Amino acid sequence: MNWDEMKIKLEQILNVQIQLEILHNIDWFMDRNVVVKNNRIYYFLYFEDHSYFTYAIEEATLTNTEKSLIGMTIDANRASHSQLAPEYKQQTALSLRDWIMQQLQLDLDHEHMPLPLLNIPQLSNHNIPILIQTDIADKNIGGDDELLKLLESFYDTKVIFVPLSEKEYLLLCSVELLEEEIEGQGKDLELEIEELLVAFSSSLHEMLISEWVGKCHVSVHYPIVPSESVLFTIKQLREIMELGRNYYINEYVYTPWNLYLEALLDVLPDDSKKHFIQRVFKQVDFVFDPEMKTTLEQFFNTGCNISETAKKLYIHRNTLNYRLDKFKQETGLDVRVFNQAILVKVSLLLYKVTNET
Amino acid sequence: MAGLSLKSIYKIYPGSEKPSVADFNLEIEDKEFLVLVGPSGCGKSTTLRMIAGLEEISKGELYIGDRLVNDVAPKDRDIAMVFQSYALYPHMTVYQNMAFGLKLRKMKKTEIDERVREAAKILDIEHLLERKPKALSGGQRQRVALGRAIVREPQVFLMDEPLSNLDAKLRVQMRTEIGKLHKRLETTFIYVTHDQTEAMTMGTRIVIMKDGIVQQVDSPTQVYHHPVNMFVAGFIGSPSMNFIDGKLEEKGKDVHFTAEGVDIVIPEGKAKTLREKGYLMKNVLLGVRPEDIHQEPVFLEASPNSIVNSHIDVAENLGHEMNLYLSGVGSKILVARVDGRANIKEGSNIQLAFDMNKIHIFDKETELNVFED
Repeated sequence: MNWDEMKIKLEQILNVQIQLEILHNIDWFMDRNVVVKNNRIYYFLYFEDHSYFTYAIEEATLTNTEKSLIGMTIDANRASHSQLAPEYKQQTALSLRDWIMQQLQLDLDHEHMPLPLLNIPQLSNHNIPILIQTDIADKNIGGDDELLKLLESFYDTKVIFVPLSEKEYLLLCSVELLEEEIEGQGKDLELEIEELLVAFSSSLHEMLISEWVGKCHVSVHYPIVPSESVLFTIKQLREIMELGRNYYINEYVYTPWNLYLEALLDVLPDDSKKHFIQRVFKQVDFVFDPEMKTTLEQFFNTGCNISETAKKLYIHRNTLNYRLDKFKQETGLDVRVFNQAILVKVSLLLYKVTNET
Repeated sequence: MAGLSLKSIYKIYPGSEKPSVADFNLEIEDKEFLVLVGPSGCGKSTTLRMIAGLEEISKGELYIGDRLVNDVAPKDRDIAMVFQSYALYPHMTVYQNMAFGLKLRKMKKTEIDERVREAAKILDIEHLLERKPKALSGGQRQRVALGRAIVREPQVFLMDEPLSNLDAKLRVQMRTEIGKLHKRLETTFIYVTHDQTEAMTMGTRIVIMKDGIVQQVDSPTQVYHHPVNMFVAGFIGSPSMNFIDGKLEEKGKDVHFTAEGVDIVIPEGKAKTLREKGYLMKNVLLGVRPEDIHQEPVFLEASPNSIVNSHIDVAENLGHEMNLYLSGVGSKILVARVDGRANIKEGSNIQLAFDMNKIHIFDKETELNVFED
């Protein structure tokens, strides 16, 4: 029901006069939906263009029961609005964007959302936060509307889409999507959630490159309640995105649990990174050739398993052992020994970020 | 359906002096199955991603059919892509996964249904249409990913290592299936792999790349038997071709190749080419494939001019054949592939003969195949 229709119905039922009032520059509704000022009771309806749309009623004309019933009716109508009306949702997303950008510019990352935004039920529930970045300018990709439509088709509208800038978008997907897929039978729940989040973000990436913009990058985090921690999460998603893009130039989907070591190493100054490589390899000009680099990466990816690595690289295990022997001969480091494998793994990461980006 | 034309394509990443792909020129014919193959970092995936529109082309022109598509978005190029990850949409059924792209294009429901069911029939996944991806095996998921591409009826299929995540047995099976699919759909396929077996068995033509540069474009047979340079010769074939560092000398009427533990006679036809090209008394590299080194007595008897003596360091018996790792011939380990039933013992000495009609000689400086130049 739209707000005008509701006003007429309430007036008929309660036999009172209701004014639709627009309020500007006030902070009455920062933490509640109903405010009494100058003997009038104001019910918050929705927020648009920096204005609060309200019903205003003379307080004396209502009983306490009527006041509560009006509040409940408005809440229910607002909730159905946010699920049904795309233009309402889009407007809310822009308000959310404005608030997020304002807070981040002030370097505030633990602020709670103001009430107008809290009235969107999805923001107070668990959501999967996803950040999308593209290097292609907005003018070439049909604008935000096209992306919003695409995402709504993809997720069947269980998504809040916030364009943070021309090339960066925040997605908040209802955690229901995840819950529907969890099997939970004898599986480690955290691991299952991580696997599902990778599946969701990878499929989103694949859909976007086929149906939207072409090249883009996606970072994802564990589910959050946006009203409590969206600012901090955006910061984390951006950090993950930067790490992923720096350390893995041929990958496009990044998760925090796959980048713990990279995050730790990244705080080192560049000089320290270079010195570490030089100390480990005892040669200033040490270079990983592409074949050796691929071999070592695959070896570490398979948990230092010779047979698995050989299988993945389509080579005989003797050939793999020969390559690892050759590496040992050149560097003095045998990656089949745990402590030396750690040194090489760390050096390989640092080498990538100091020499390849 | 359409062919493609790549005209002097370059990919140069910002901040990098060396192009990742340089001067790539190729005409890909309509309905061709072209395979891009090469080691990791050779530029094959980058080339495919440029064709797909996922990477910007730094320089050059790309045509699909008659249309210049450098600045056309991937979704408007009339292509379909299948990647290694084949990330299916986990919240959708198989049917919805396949129908999604068509739904976006506002196709009629009846037509979508027709296309999805037809593709499912081709891929033998009709019974899986109502399942979600989590209830599928790896091979079934791969088929759905292919189905998602097929329903679009694109002008060109692009596949980037689509079988890498499958186990060895499934990979062989899917290899055949993709081959059949190509014949059935009669569409242009461009396929990237680093697996030379996939390249050899699937492609009508193979493009071998190294360091962003095309080394050779030819049919699998030509590439295997007539490699233009040492890289191609070494990359295609497993175990790879042996290279022996040595010298060409004229002894009497014959041209000999000599190296540590080797003195063999080059057949007259090849010797003539070497004389004409001025390679006598020059240091060269002789290339011989493992299967062109023989231990059978009949072959040894018939080839007295190409016999070498060596020591068996390791003998790997694979059942139907045996790989021998030999020392004493040239300065490096030589690999020979012999019959698995041969009575051969590790640590013993062995007499072998090269099939001299199948040897290659490479220029030491340019690494080009003298006979293919």
